Amino acid sequence: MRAVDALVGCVAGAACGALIAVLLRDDSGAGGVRPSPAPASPTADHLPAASSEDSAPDSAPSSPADAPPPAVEPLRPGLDARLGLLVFGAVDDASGVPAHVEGERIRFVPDDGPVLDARIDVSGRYALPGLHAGTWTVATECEGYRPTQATLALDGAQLATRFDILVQAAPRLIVLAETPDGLPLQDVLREPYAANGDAFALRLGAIATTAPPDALQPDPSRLWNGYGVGRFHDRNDAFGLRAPDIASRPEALGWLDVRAPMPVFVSLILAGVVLETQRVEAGQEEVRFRLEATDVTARLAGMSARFVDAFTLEPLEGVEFSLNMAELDHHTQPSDAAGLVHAEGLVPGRTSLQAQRQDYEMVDVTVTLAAGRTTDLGDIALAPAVSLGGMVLDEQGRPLAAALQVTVVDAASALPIDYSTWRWSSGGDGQFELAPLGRRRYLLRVDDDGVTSVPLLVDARGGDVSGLLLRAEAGQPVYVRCAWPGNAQRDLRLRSAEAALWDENILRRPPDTWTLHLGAGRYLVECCDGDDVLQSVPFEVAGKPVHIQLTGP
Amino acid sequence: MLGAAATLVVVGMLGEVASESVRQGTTAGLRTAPEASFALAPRAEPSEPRQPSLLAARADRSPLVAPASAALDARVGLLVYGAVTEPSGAPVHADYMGIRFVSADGDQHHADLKDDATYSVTGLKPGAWTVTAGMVGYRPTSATLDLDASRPVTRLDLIVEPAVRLVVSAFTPDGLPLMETLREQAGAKKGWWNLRLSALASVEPLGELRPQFERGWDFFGVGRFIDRFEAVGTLERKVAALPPGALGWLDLSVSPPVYVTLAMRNAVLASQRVEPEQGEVVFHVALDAVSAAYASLTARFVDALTRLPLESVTLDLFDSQLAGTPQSKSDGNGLIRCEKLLPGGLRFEVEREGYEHLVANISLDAGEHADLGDVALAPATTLSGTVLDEEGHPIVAGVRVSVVDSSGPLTWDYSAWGYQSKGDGTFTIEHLGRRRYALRIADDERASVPVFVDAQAGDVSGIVLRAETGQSVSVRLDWPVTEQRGMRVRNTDGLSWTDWDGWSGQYVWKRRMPRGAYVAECYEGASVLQSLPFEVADAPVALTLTGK
Repeated sequence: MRAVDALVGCVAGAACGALIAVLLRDDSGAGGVRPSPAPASPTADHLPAASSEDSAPDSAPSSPADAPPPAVEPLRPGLDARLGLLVFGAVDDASGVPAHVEGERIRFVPDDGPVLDARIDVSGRYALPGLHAGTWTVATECEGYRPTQATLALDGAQLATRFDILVQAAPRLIVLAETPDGLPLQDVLREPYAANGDAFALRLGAIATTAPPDALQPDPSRLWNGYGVGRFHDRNDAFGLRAPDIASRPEALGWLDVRAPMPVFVSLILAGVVLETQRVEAGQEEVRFRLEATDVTARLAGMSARFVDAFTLEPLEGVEFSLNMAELDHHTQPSDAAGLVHAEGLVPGRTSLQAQRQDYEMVDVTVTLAAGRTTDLGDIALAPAVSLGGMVLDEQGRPLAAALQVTVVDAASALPIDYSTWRWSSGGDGQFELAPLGRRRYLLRVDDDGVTSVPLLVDARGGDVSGLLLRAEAGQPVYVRCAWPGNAQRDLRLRSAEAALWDENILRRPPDTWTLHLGAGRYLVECCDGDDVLQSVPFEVAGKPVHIQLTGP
Repeated sequence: MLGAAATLVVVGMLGEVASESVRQGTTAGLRTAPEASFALAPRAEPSEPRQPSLLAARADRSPLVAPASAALDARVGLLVYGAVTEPSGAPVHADYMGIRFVSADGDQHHADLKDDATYSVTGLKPGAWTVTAGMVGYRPTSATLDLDASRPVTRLDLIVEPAVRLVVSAFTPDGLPLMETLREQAGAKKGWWNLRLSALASVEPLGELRPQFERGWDFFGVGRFIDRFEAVGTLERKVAALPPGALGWLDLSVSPPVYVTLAMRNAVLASQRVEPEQGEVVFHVALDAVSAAYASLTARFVDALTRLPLESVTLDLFDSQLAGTPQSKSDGNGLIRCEKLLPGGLRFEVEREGYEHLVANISLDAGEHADLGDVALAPATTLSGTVLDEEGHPIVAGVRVSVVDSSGPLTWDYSAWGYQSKGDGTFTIEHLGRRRYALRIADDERASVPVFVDAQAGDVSGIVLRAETGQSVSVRLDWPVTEQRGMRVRNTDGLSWTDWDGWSGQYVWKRRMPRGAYVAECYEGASVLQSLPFEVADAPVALTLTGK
């Protein structure tokens, strides 16, 4: 920190009077340099003469009255509007050493409209065309550095603006976990599962928070890596990163880059289950957890369920199922004659359960497995298999190969079927056949790069449906600005007017904008913390772009 | 510079503007304002989203500004940005693309095209640059650009012409779609398959093809082939619209007439001349012709010391994209026979407990049966040692191994294998043989003089590799971007730093290399077109290979 202070003095002192003047003029609203009399849209057929007014930043202090900004032609539509304004600069480490930020992105978030990303090159430089006049929030989250955020006001009179960014290295904590007798805890835990190759599903991780964490929203996926004020890197996912030297330390799980000043609280977690928490002081470089393996295995989950026919409610024998990331021991048995299934030794938390049986639909439901006990999921109803067939046409009526999305409208079960991670598509002749779905009601839509469609409601309760027609269209852009207070990561969800889940697990942290293209219709966007809905905003897509601001609860 | 008509519009920024066109290989001139200006915004600083911090407080006191200069700024360098459009003015829609800036002295920068078909690149130096744009669906475009230190920001718009596109189809003589029929015969109806058929475009009829170590040909001559069975991303949707029998399409960088050749790696199945206005090429190929192109191989594995046959030696044969045949095992006589091998270059990997892990390359002609005779496996040896930096401190570094004396039909090649020293500088390389090796450091930041190790008597320990920063060596490949040639760099002991026969022009190969005497060569097949000896000593080395 002292080094940073020293740097401030040094650079500020080095900045000559001219630079200070430039800055003052920036503050005055007249721009950092004299506005160019040249049109803002130089083109081949418009050749303004160069003048001294076009020259470099004026080194002499000057008030706006000295040089009233001449009228500037607006950017013309087409090529020049596409090129817009240019921002460029360098990203440097505040401590004076080169920042290792190659390939990282700088987010330029406008008050409305899509986010633009600039990529940082190998030398820490960047340039980004395509911006428009107005206020932009510029944010970085470079690996190994604390996030930065600043406001940049762009004036249409200046086609190019230099904007440098300083980043500060995040304090780095090596996270160690061992048994009381000094064995690497994760290796001890994984050993029983090593033979079947599922050991990596048992992943210990770490989070950093400014206060001891409350109960977390359990999730066995890897989404905890960016929770709170830390970013955790598992040693096995460290390819290409500047990793600390932990190769010879088997008890090291990885490392945490901390975004906030110390002290912080570091918790060892299994999925969303907090196993132990320690306060970590400034200057500390490691955090070591000592736990018995049984302290962890006691938190593993179990599940039971009964598969039944959706119409007769008779038990279904021979249903095969899997539990995605939750499984450590891949030996789930098909349902017995009573339709019952049971599994133990699962990673607790939210996971997806997939089930299938001959002549029945294949389903994917999201379940939450409680830590340290067996969760009874109750009856899971499988409907007899049906197929949906039809064709996708583009706006000119030609057959189109496109990705399709299917949403179940009215899942009768308490465990709604979720096909949001599944993808179907039409072929080159535009034809599609979706199977094995069940005797339910569905929403079908085109969901591909640059094309969408008005969702088509399909009632398949009577059996197979054919002759469906989806008309692809460009749709309207919908900009969902993430503007809740603080820097917390939230889960965005989109629902259709029929309350069918459209898309979820869109993790965002402000400032950011989620841009999507939707066909005409009514929708609902939600800002969530796990299962808790913090804010819900209904909106309608008609003939123009939609702008939504999520401010949190 | 190009045979094709390519148009470049160069636009200066913030002042006088110039526009000139490049047609048929004429390079554009560039005139821009003698000076240009840009605004200077306060520098963004680290922020603490939740808690006040030293840095946040500091911003209130004394905002930082970057050194302002309208002229060359060493930190940011010169900046070029612009848009890429079709002749109609519409933005290009390219699935994959890049813009490359290559300076006369071997500096190289890449710019990615954004979704809105604009680009930007920083860090350029004053001087002459060759700008090359290459993207799926468009003809490669190349031109020169002169940058002036007094002009920090330059706008350069590129106009690229859509490529002439030929849909390539293949059928059996009785009209069945060739690829689909072959797949059906092999039980590989959907998804990935190791057999690829490729379409190659050339201005003249094709002669013998160079050994292909990849699964097929994507870039060759004046064409870029998009294989419908290999397309991913947005291309996948486009190829889905192709009719049965279509193998994909060829994007031509020149206007027809051209020759289009249907190839199965190194086997030419058919060829025909394509005339102007032709939008489709249809081949008719007998299934027997495809079968006849497959190669086969036999070998007998023996102990290098006793010459006794080795049973249960496993052999993997695959191309550089890891597509291959099922693993084979030698019988009690040490024999292995592999059938239905794709003609061309293959990786040849052999393993047996207690013996060296043999990694080599082999090239098979179409229809060839190669009898490798006895292939001797040496008992396994281990090389170990330490990597030290220039101050003698142990360091983590990448280590490469080469076999010094490789001869016969198999070319020993460990270039795809990388080893690394640990934090204490030590390294151990197992499963090598009783041979002579050269070890050296090879990573982005360091190099070392090769250390020759004689392991003919068994394990060798105590090897010391001394890392040095070396010198930057750049080799500018100054032939048209539409042409491919071979380029290799080796030292006078014959150790290779790079050797590949498919380099497109207007590219800069760059490495850090230790002191020593080397030679850079451009070649085509067996013919060396140009040979440049050079020495690495106390200064960076910049070479240009023109291929003439």
